[in-house]
Amino acid sequence: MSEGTARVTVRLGHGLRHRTCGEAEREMRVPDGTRIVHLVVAFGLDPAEVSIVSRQGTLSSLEDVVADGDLVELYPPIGGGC
Amino acid sequence: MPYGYSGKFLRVNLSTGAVKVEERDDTYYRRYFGGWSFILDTLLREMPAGADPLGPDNILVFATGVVSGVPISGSARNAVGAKSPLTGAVGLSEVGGFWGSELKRAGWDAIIFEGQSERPVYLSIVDEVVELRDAGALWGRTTKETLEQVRQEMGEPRARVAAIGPGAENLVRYACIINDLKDAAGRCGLGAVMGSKRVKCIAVRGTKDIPVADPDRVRELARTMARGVAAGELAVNMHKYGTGVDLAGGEVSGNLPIRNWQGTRFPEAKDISAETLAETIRARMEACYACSVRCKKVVALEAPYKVDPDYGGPEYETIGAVGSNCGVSDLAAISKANELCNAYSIDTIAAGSAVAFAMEAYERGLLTIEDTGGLELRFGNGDAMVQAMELIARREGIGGLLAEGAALAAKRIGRGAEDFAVHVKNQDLPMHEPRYKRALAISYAVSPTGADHCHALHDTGYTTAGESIRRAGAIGIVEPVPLESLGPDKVRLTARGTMQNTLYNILVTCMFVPWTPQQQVDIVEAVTGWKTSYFDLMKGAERAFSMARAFNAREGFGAKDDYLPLRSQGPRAEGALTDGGIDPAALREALDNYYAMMGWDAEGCPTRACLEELDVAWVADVLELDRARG
Repeated sequence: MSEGTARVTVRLGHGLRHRTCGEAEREMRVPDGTRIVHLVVAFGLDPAEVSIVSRQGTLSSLEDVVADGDLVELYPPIGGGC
Repeated sequence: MPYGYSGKFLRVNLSTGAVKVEERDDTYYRRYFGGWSFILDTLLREMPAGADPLGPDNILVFATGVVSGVPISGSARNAVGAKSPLTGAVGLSEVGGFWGSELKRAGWDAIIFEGQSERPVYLSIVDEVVELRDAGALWGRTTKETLEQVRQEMGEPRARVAAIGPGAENLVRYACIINDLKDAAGRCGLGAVMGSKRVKCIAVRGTKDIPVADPDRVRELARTMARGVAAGELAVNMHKYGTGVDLAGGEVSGNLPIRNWQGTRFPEAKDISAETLAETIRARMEACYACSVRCKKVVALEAPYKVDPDYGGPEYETIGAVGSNCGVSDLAAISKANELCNAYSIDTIAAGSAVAFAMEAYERGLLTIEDTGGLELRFGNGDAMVQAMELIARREGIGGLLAEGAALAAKRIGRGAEDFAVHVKNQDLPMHEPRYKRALAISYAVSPTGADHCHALHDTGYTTAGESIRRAGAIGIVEPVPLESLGPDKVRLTARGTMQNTLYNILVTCMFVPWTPQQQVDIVEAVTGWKTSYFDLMKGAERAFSMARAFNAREGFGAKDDYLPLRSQGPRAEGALTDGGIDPAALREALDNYYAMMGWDAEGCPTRACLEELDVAWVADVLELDRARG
């Protein structure tokens, strides 16, 4: 992914961290128009394993476009009892 | 000689004090496997329809399964069942720890309690030696006091104890049964049944090895799971944190219930999440018998509340019920409530739900400060929530009303309170939002035990072509199903997924241990020596589930009793799920479709053909006999 104008923080819920060898958070500079699914792929995650997307503390989706300063939080599906 | 089971049940007549041994043949085990099926076979054959759940005609069954007690992850559990005093339907609950495996190692596969004792008693089991003993000195004691005194009396410091506390003695309608202080057969009020029969506890010491058909294969399977967990490849977060991790995700998605399911935002969710608990007040993690997943958190605290680590720590359901759903963001108060519920043997889900309901009633002016005896029952008041637990267990003041459960309390209060009592068949919803997980809308409604999170299907993992869908190939689900769907695709997924979960309840194994379907088959074959298949096991689950529905049909339950509470149908107040709700007509269509797919009639009762296909035609005979009697 090329350097761009937006600085975005991507934070993973604990349920996804074993998929990134424990990496929990990454700051990225991304081009305008970047969608959250691009961040997921850049983090090395399979978008199919991401169930809940939060942007600035509000429910969002993989297709949403990020803006400068965004905090994006990603979580796996919530099972029973989890 | 059978492998994996002894073929022996204990029958205890509490009215006469007689204890006898009964034998079941191999066909019985081959057909039923254990758990729910043992319980339902007993209840359907022996309990008269319409029995008072708290009277002598109710029958209380503790059951293991054919692989229970074998030293392999997930085999520790036991099931308990009776007619529920909370729902009036069948009551079924499953519990971990060590008690179930100890019972198997003592040589017993199940215990049937019938009748009612005039005085408090406890059952002492040391291998073949079984005695009904006086429990007069134990009555009124907490589960910990009971455990300590009984071990001393028996001279068995390693006895495992399934006990009730004062909440069950006082017949709190959702009282539970606690294994060794930490693990609860939580739902359906089975502790109240035990209290009504005046059985204080069942203390077991078992010293026998359980013979298995292929010991090398059993050891190999056990090692496979242990290595996978140790390598960080299996049950990763369950092993590290237990349940209740990533609550911030649950909050933002709308899954986490907030302030009696009103659905306002709760940014404090992260403060009560399992990862926060691990960093703050967690003393250690513990395991059930022979389990490498080791998912049980233990809390120790001196202030602001003293929390005894012997009572374990709060699971996700407890954190949701006494935490977010009461607007409480204080882990200390949540842990104290958990301790009290385990000491008094009351279900944390139902107790928390009753308090959350009362908080809303108080804030709406339907309950006054006089009604609560001075307790400021407002959302977020952790101290009031903790005090309410004491009152409920003792049925004192407002506790007397809340001990009936939110559903019955709402009926007594009236004035619109029933609109915000959130239950199915009087069983409070567990801590998962059916407006978010639409499979739960179906599952909660059709569950024979009322709203339940264990045999229900949670469908969030099945919306993309991820790991859940890959695993669902074993039940013929081969493509993703949209989260919002209530169509035939969702009904099919829900029905088959529910049977997969019910399989855990007939094998009486743990769903937190990620055995694959093939490994489940391998375990049953290695332990019993039988030739089986996943088809055979799933049919066993379907048999149990349909028998449970048949039990309910005898008790007068029908399609009208399969519903979703009003609050769960409309939009949430803030954040996610605010733009609509669940269409009642679409849900009804889904439920009718579910009945048809399962081979049930328009009232949701299994047809004769369904029961014959499941090899339990005798259940159809029982139903027809009841109908003939009117």
